Amino acid sequence: MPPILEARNISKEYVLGRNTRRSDNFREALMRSLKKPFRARRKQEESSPKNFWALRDVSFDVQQGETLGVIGRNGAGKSTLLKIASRITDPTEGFMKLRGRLASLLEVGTGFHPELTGRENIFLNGAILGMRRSEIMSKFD
Amino acid sequence: MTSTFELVIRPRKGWQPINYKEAYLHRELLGFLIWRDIKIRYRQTFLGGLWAILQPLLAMLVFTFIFNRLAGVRSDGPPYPLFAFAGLIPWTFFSNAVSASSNSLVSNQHLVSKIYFPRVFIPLGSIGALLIDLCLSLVLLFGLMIHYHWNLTYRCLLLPLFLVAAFLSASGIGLALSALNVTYRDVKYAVPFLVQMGLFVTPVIYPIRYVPERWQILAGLNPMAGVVLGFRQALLGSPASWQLMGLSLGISLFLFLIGLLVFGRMERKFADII
Repeated sequence: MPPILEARNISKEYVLGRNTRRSDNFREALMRSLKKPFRARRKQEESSPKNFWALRDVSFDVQQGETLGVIGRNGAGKSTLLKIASRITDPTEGFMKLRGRLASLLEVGTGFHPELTGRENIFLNGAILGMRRSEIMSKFD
Repeated sequence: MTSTFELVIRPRKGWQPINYKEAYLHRELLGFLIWRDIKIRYRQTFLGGLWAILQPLLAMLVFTFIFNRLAGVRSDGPPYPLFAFAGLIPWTFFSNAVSASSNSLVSNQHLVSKIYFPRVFIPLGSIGALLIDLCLSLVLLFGLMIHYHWNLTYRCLLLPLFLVAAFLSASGIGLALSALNVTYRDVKYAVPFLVQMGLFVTPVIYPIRYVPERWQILAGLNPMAGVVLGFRQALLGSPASWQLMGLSLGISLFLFLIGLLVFGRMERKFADII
């Protein structure tokens, strides 16, 4: 049996402060893209100390029936790993192979809307998690 | 997220189209999101769903008074209130759709940053929900036509074509702006202004013959010009040149494709930036 989850050399890089300083508005982004062709294409220049690697070279396998716990302190990259596995964000390097269905509970109740009833929320969240209407119906009495 | 087959997650680079196959598999979710938007939109309002028809109706009354009575703008055949209302129906849809969809990703950021599903559904869902409003306004228009003894002709069979064009224009612009709004919140401030200006460059409150002949082809570059002219022709039998409308409809389709392309390029960064 192949593993149900294979992670190989997963790395995730975040560029800190890019959003708040380097390209806060159209004008700066426009200027940057206009200047881009004239600048020497050097990767080194781009990766300044403001870059932060949340994950670096993470590899592991999970077999069917196995339970794997990921523990670590704040900022260790646990959520980032889950976000990559659940496809919310792309890895910067490496790949993951999934066989089966994956549902992450990064934050319970994310899709809930206070203005909808409980029953309505169940259907909406089921659909968000990728279930068909008939599938939700069969699990719901 | 749902897959009983093998799924490989790897970094995506450059211009890649959105995942159409996956969007098709999740199509029921689009229906749920539209339904959610409809349910929530007029919650905790006193007038509720009436707002859907009050917007174009009040605008029609004000425009009839100011432009027709005071400024002397004439229609191209039908009574001015009918003329204005038939133009305001697609325009109200378009302006609401562009505003709602361009803010949709940011206002649903709890979903974007926590759960995976085809992201295009968020802006498309907010636009789809507004189609209901448009249909309600159409019913009111039919009422007004009875009141003014203005008959519907076989031309109304063309209406679906212009409905699709209205949806494509709004979606193309909405998809691109919603994606841009994730990185550049400037969009939020620019959209209301641009939409307001759009009303005046689109022949909504004046007939197209007010535009000098040699500038009319420029009007065709506006995707909504064809939609507004088409609505009027289909519903009221107003004259319209197919050359101009054809160009405008082509632009709608083009904008839609551009919107999808921009969205596909930017969507993989949404969760990191939003």
